[in-house]
Amino acid sequence: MRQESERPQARTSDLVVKEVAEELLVYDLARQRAHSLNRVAAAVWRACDGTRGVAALGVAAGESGQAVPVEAVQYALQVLGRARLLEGPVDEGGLTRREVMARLGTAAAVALPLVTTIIAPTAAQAQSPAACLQENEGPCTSVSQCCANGCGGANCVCVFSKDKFRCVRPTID
Amino acid sequence: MQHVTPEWTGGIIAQVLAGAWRAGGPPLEVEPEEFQRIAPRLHETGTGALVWWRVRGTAFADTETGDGFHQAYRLHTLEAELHALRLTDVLCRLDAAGVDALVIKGWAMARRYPEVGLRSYTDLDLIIRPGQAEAAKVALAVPPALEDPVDVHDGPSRIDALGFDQLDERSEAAPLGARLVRILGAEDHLRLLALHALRHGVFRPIWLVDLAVCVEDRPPGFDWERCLGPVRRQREWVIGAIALAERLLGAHVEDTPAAGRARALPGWLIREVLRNWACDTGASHPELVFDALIARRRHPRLAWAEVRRRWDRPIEATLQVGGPFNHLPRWPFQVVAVARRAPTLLRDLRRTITSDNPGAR
Repeated sequence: MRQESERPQARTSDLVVKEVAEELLVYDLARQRAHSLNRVAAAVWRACDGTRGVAALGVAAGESGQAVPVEAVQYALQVLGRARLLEGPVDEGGLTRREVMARLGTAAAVALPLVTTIIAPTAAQAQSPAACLQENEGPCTSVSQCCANGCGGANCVCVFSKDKFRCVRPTID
Repeated sequence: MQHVTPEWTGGIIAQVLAGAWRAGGPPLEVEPEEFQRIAPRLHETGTGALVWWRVRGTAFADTETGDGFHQAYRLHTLEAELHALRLTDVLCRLDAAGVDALVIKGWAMARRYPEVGLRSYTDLDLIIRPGQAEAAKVALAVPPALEDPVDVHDGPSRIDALGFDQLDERSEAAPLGARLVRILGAEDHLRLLALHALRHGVFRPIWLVDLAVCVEDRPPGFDWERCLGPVRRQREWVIGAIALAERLLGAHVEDTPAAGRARALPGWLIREVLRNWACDTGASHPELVFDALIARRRHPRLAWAEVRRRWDRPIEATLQVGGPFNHLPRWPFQVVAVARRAPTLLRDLRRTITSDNPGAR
């Protein structure tokens, strides 16, 4: 759990950030992971400028003069850290979501900060070439060798890429 | 239980996407089971974000299937940001190399949707001035490696009848971050998108959505004569594609040359598009015919499927032959299309024989 003396700093490098309705989407270029931050988590993350302790973060992230409870800020820092969206080492310990909910009370559940890793729906992945990729063991010398090795599904074609033939879905946008 | 045919699946896809690009589309009259059943296909077609846009705020949004579309929306939204960064990089490289480029399709189209993430795409499409392909290739090969595939057209000759200078003269500037990007004029882009969709059998539903967006969002003073061009057959094709967008997706085409044309579209055309949406017939065939057949020689079913996939493309055949979209059967057009490809097929056959038997002459 973060000490009051700590001054968390939000990561700014290698991130692509996009605000959409009620949430902040963050793509981590270094780790190639996408996250969705709900409003509370996004407010705490944006307030992490390296000068504020936990209590001050709660005030800075609050809305309409209502500070975010300290427990919620602690939990936000924990989940933001695990998502590697804060500078410095990851805080592995801390509160569980259930414990935070119990402390905040069910009525305050709306104040629960959430950071969700975005996972592509299974079928959506099929749109990318990687999903139908059946790379051969080694480079082939002809397209027929590649296809003989298993590329022949209804949606796959053989292409020459990265020094070898590979089985991919054609992409035409 | 509903008997599922490709036309049925394609029809449900059409219902889900109808008006999806508008702020207030028509009510979604699809059963939850139908919605769930076609969800994987919708994801595959790259329309997941658009479907979320359509169902958000409805009972469908709170289902597990709806959550999958929400995830697709988030992913495509972030992908759009990444594409914009990568396109900036690509254009900076081309600028530095003195290459003139016009951005088409993907990014140039996505910017016209209510949110750029609603229109997914995988590569960056550019038309460059003819003769600059080598310079472009060198500029794009400079490290670090590009993370998006770039489809560079060496001049527009393979995709449009107009020359680069004409398209460039009629092009517009669009903001991309801190810079301006040259994109096709609204008229030229609509024509290019319509013909591109037809040349590939309209196998992606998003292509018809593109046409709907272009027509409904066309700027004041949109010049239909400029869009359709002087060639009668091409005018018919473009109008036919727009009429398809009305027929299948409910595009508003009043006050356009396509008004009232949807009812006259031939049944084979509608069925073919719906079938393509249901089955993913694939795009072009970079793999050569005989290579493909030889590779599948031990799998008769796959070989037969390959023959059918290459033959059974009435929309492409009609365009290749320069035919009309009328009610006549398509097989004569398909026969002529194959006959016209005969020299290429012979070259392909000779190449396949010699590459499999290096000693052969």
